[in-house]
Amino acid sequence: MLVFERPSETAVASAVDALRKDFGERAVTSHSVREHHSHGEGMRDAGLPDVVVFPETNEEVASIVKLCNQARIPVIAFGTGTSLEGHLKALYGGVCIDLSRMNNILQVNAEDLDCRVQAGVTREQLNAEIRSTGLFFPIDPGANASLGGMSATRASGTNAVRYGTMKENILGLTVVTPDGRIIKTGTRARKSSAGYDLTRLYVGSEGTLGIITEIQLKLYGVPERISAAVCQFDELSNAVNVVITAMQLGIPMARIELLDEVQMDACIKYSKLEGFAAKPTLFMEFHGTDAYVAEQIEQMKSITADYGGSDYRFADKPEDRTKLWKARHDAYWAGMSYKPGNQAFATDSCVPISRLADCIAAAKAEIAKTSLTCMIVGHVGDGNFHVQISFNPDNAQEREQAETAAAQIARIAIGMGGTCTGEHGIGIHKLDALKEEHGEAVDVMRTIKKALDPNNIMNPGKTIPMN
Amino acid sequence: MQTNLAPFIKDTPQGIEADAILRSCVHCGFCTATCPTYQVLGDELDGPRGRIYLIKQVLEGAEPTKKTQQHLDRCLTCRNCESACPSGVQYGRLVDIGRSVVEEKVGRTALEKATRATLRKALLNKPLFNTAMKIGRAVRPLLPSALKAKVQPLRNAGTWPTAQHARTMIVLDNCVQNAMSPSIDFATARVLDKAGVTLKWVSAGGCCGALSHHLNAHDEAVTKVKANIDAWWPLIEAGAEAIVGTASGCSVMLKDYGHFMQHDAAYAEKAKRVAALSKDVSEVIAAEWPQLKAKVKASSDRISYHPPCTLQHGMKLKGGVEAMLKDIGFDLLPVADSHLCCGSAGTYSVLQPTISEELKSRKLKSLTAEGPSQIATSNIGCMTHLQSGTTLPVKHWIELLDERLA
Ligand SMILES: Cc1cc2nc3c(=O)[nH]c(=O)nc-3n(C[C@H](O)[C@H](O)[C@H](O)COP(=O)(O)OP(=O)(O)OC[C@H]3O[C@@H](n4cnc5c(N)ncnc54)[C@H](O)[C@@H]3O)c2cc1C
Ligand code: SF4
Ligand code: SF4
Repeated sequence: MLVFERPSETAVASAVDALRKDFGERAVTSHSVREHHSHGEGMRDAGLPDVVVFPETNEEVASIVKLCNQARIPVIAFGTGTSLEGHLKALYGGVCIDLSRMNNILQVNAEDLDCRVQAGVTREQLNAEIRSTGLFFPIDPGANASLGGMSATRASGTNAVRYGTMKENILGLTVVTPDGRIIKTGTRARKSSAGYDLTRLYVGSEGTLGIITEIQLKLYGVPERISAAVCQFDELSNAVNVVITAMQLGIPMARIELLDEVQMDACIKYSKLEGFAAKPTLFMEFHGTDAYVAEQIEQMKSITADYGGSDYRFADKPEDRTKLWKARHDAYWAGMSYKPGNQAFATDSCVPISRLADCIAAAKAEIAKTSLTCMIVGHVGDGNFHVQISFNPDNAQEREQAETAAAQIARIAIGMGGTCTGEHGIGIHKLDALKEEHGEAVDVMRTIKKALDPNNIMNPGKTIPMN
Repeated sequence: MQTNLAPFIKDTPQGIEADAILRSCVHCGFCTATCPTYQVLGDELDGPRGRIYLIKQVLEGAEPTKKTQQHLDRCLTCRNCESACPSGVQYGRLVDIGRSVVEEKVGRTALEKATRATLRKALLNKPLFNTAMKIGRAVRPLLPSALKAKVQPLRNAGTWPTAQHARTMIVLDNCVQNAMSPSIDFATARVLDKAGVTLKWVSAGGCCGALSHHLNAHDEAVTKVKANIDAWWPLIEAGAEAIVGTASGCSVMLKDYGHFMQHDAAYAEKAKRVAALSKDVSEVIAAEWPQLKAKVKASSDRISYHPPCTLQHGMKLKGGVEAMLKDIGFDLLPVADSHLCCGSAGTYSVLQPTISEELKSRKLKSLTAEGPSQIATSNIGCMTHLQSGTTLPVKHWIELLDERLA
């Protein structure tokens, strides 16, 4: 559906000329650079921007957006290009703003447990640079994404069950609006009742309302004791029930991740894990004081024993923990290399915890209808799991099976009072699912979009179905 | 990655190999952050994932441009990315294929051609190179500093041992090493002599073929390889145990002879045998270490060691040299980012001087951070390159052993 009219070639050419004049070598039109910026991970159907610009300041971002608004040319923000739902595809060409050069940490306020970063700082960079303060930033999507991109997709990660998602961890933003104003939302205060919560509006807006250039983030003290443990099961349902019970009992796990037998097989091979079986598995982590961690582990052990879980394999040394969590973070790549040459969809259902077992069972039934290799992995502590559906992109039937299964799995979650996307976002692939999930509310979202971006230049065609 | 190679290459041996490599890449980008050229230039297309993508596009039929070629030229072929890749992508092989296809399609400017030809001719023509080095040394005080750096005073090589042991090994006659630093082969011969091995030096005109290969002079490389095989064959038949490479850049090429000649009916089998016998000097010494160790005097000097890319990434030989040096008491200082290339990379330092210089200064900064009295490495290229940026002595580690032979 056409929701935006491609700007005329002359309009684009003169905008490109103007950008070249202002940005010199930082305005790039080479095919390979445009191609690199035309997609995230996941499916890469082409849709090239006309030019990629690498600004370094808020004012430079504002000048680009202003120019595009006047010329009615699309603007697409680019963080690190790891999004999975076609977020970055330049459906109508336009200007891609790559924020990777805005990668400075502007302040670290250790005494208030917060910091301010530019949007291009990546999560690993932030943690490496604040290591000496004894603080850390917990949100950890599998990829080393930019904090701007993570804000824009409302990302989460393995720590979300304890520390929340991006939504809970952003105190405020600097945003360049579609008409080129630079505004600040939020404050450094932990709470505020001052007016509309614009911060929450921009978080998760996928670049459709403005460009985030700075982010005020919450930080946390590195816990005194961190203990990671792995427990394996014969039955997937038993592993899932352990998670549900633990959450219902309020055990304050820092991380609890589920991998089914296929995903575990892929991870063992890819990350060269030793001493594990290709069985349904839980990766867990406990944070706190020595005594507190010991207590949590005892409680967990009694639950896993009830569901026939194996003995725990502990990883207490930092390097062992790193290896374990790296294997978990790399699960997506493990899945990709399981079937070389294949493509994959990663579904992203999230349901109330009591429905998790039903939802996973229904997803499994959906998978069984296909002939495809699928694997399950997820941040199950908050009811979120992914089915990675692998298919041969040259085989139309496989692709169709994959698309149908992915849509159906999203629908199942919605039917259980959950959401089609816990953390990856809508992009272009989940526009229909958003309508199913939110019905009339989508119309209100559309009203907001039209009010803030009347010319529809901000990442047009994404996130909100415009008709 | 999904691939769809264009008809011009699809069913050729190169195409089949490239296709398998491309499909094994999942595009995760773990290699990118560790790539030295990405670190210096900060452009996706100057990192391995970007280069793989460029090569894929070209093999799928996209027309490469001068820019494409530049991104591939800027690659050091250090193969750091291979060490970082969890999916086992053989980037080194892929970039060889990509470079030759791109060169065929976009060609080289007259100036580039001339530089490359001169480089090859100068380095491969022994008498010419030897003379150049001699003259260079004689007039060194008069040379401009950039050139002076490359022409360093010669260390006395000493004498070649005369004892004839029952055990023999062959040493490769390196193209540049013997002119620039003959002491390395002499030192190797003396150390092996202590282990009861006679090292035989057979000349086939010099060079393992790597130089020509990396400058895309395929036929010239094949000629070199064949000449070496022919020269060594009688000694191999007579029972030589190994072909020793004293420069890791050559060792890695020797080990690749089997693959390199696989489609040559007359030489394929012999090349495989040569490759199987080929060892880096560090492997040979490690095998003799139990008996050699006692014959080397201990030292407590503070030194830092630079493992060349061809050693640690190319041959995946990590930690061997360090273990032996530590074993005789050397205080081996910690070196940050020891996986990174020093920027020498064969002829790279001449063809891409800016990036090369930047990498050299970064490397020397980490090598000298803890105040070593000298620097050791395993490859003549790295040695002269690093030496050109420091007043500390930079030596081949085998020379350090040789100096301490009891
Ligand atoms: C292996 C792998 C594992 C993953 N695991 C997780 C996971 O566990 N949890 C999770 O939540 N996600 C996960 N993801 C998805 C992805 O990492 C996240 O969506 C991430 O937040 C994207 O960040 P980015 O910097 O790559 O953004 P990009 O992909 O560059 O952009 C994403 C979207 O945000 C917009 N955007 C980017 N920067 C800005 C900005 N400064 N201002 C306004 N809009 C902007 C873009 O226009 C686009 O619409 C995973 C992806 C991969 C490949
Ligand atoms: S690390 Fe390996 S699989 Fe990943 S992008 Fe690099 S070459 Fe490809
Ligand atoms: S070989 Fe070295 S320079 Fe080339 S892409 Fe790999 S890491 Fe980078």
